[in-house]
Amino acid sequence: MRERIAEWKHMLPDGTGEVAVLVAQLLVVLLVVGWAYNRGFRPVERGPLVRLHLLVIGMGEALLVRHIHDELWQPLIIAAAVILAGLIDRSGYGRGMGVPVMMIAALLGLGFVLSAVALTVVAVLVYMLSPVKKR
Amino acid sequence: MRRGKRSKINGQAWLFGLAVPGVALFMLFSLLPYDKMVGQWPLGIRQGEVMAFQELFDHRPGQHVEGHAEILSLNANGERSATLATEHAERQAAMQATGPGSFTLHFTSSSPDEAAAMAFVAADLPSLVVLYAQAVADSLPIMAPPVSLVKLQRDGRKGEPYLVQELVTPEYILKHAPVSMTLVGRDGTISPEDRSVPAPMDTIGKDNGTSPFRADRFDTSATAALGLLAIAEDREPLLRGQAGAMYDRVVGGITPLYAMKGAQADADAPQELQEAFRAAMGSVADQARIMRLAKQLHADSALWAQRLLAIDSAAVPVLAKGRNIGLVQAEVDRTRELFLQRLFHPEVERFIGQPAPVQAPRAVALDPWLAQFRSGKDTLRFVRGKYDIDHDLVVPAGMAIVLEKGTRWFMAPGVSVVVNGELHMRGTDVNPVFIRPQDAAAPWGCIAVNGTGRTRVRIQGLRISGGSDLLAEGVYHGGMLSFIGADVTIANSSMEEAFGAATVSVKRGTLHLSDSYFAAAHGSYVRLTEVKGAMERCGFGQPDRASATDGRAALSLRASQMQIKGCTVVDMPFTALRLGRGSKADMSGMRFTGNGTAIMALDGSSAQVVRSEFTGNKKVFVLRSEHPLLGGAEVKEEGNSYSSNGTFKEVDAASKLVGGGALAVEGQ
Repeated sequence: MRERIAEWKHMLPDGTGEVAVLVAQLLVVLLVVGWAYNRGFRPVERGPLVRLHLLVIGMGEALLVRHIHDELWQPLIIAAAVILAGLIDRSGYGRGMGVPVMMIAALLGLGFVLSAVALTVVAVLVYMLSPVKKR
Repeated sequence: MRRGKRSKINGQAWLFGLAVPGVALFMLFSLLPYDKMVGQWPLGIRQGEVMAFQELFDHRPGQHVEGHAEILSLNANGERSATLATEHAERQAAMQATGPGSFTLHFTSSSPDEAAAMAFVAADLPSLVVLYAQAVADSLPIMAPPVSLVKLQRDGRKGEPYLVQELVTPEYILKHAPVSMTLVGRDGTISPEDRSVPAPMDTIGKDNGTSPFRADRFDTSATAALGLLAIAEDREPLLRGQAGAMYDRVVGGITPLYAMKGAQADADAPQELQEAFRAAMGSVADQARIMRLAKQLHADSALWAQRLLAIDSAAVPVLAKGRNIGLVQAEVDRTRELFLQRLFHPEVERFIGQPAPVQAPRAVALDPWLAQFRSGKDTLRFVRGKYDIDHDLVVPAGMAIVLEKGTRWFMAPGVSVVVNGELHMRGTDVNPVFIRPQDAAAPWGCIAVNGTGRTRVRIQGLRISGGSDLLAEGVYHGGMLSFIGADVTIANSSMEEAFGAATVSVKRGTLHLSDSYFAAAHGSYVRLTEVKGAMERCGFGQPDRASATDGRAALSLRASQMQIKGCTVVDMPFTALRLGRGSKADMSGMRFTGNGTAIMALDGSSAQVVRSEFTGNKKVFVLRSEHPLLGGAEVKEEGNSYSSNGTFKEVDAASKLVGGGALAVEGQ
């Protein structure tokens, strides 16, 4: 069985494992932050736990940041992703969770896992403690 | 239904949201034992990040370490130049960044005692691995410039620890490597051996466009050493030749080099060289050699542990940058332990890959024409008689050729004989061995011996003329008779009309030349490179051309040591004896008559001349430094006679002529 798995592994392009880990990390972040974000809303008002558009933009950002090491382009990519997520998140639900997710995605892309974990905890606590105005 | 909406996050949420993780991190990093902190973290959390958090959140009490090292100060003069000041001197240099926190300085001036270029790499505790690897490299057969730890004050700021290493540049090779070594350029170029006299007649060895970078040509000891260092340092780019290589122009070999991480810009070696490195490292034999090296080092494991501890005690206080001593100790212990683990128990296959057999060069088959001369298992014997050599002969390795007295070889134009074993010529005064051209107007190639270091060449009673030289398989045989890695004795012979760079060329071996006469050479008569030996009672005269092409000399020595007695050099319009690249010569009873220059000593060479005659030479002694890095020359003369010479001496500031010769001239 191990041999068969090794054969399959060889068929995958280089770096597939890294990308898969990054996707998994981002999924976990979106799940946890999404859960905290949804906490204040009534069950019917809650959005999906994993916001697909944030996953796509965050993943793109993380991959770009990981592979482009230019001093100018890296911060520009992060800034662009944060602004884009901020714009998309402006909806009837008030402030979205795009900005912190993009920052966490940038940290994951840069390989700062511990910082990403810390920021995730901060985001979770802040969302859990901030009120949602019921109308 | 009306929907809820997230409003602006209030201060309370921010306060708790930030305070709770802050307190948690403070507790984690202030309470976690240091040996755990410097260990492997889960989720792929890297050490650098952990240390950054430790600096922020670790506030436990403890001693803090600060150490001392040599202080250098670097002041930028514009974007790309700087002045480096040490305690004793200031040097101007061109500055080039090679990576984050690392740069190189190429100094505008250099001397034999100073580096031509240096690499600086910002150091931290993980840099201990570099110092460990350097200590190991020093004990292995690989060229690695020493590394030192300094505190560098950049533009007047506080001193930061840096690792400094002299860069391996052509100048470094010039000073520290054997004379025949040349640095393989970052673009894979190799400066070719000078072929001063064009000899387009080679019929073999046109190289057929084959690459000089072949796995089977790698120096096996240096390759294994580099492999082990790459594993111990966990530095894969070394396996692809990132630290560069030298090319041995004598035997066409590749010798890998070692340099500390970050010393060179991260540019990869040329593809061709990378592949050759990979193939050489990936061979079964090389991987076995790496394991053997590791075992040898492991046998002295206690000594190595002590040595690394000594490095720790000197370097850690500087690298600690005032951090908590407990943390530093834990990290240092772990770093040392991991390094020793990788050094003594290298996971060769995991790091380098599955071993593969290197395709050995095709064994040379015995030429069918030579088969008739086989007189034993490994001897080809030519007895008295005439033989037309009309095609190239390459004799298989280990097979000797014997030319008995009265043997006469007539060589076709461009044809060479390459012997990969012993060569014996047993002529006598009455029945010499003759080697002559079939066509006097068209030179043949050369008689070449590729030895293994002590391969015997014994030549007696030879009369030879009409040859040139040979470039085959990337190896230059620069004389009509050319010997590489051989123990050569030539006696009672006469050599005339050689069209190549030299009549006799010997590289990396020994030579005993006696009672022989040389004439009508188009280049030099005897060219020696890395040779030891003696010359007695030989005569050199009547050169074919008067042109003094660059470096032409009757006797030319490079990095060689010779005793020369009772030889006569007459009527050379160029230099009679040229000593270059740290050569040494003891001369006595010599006669230099009517030459352009009698003795030229260059670049760290030295000579002693006693009881010799100098008559009618344009210049007697020329002593100078052609490469300032190698220093000048020194000649001692005593008890010589000088008459009717032109200039007695031309000595530059770096060189010295010792003796009373000047008085002798004044007395003329």
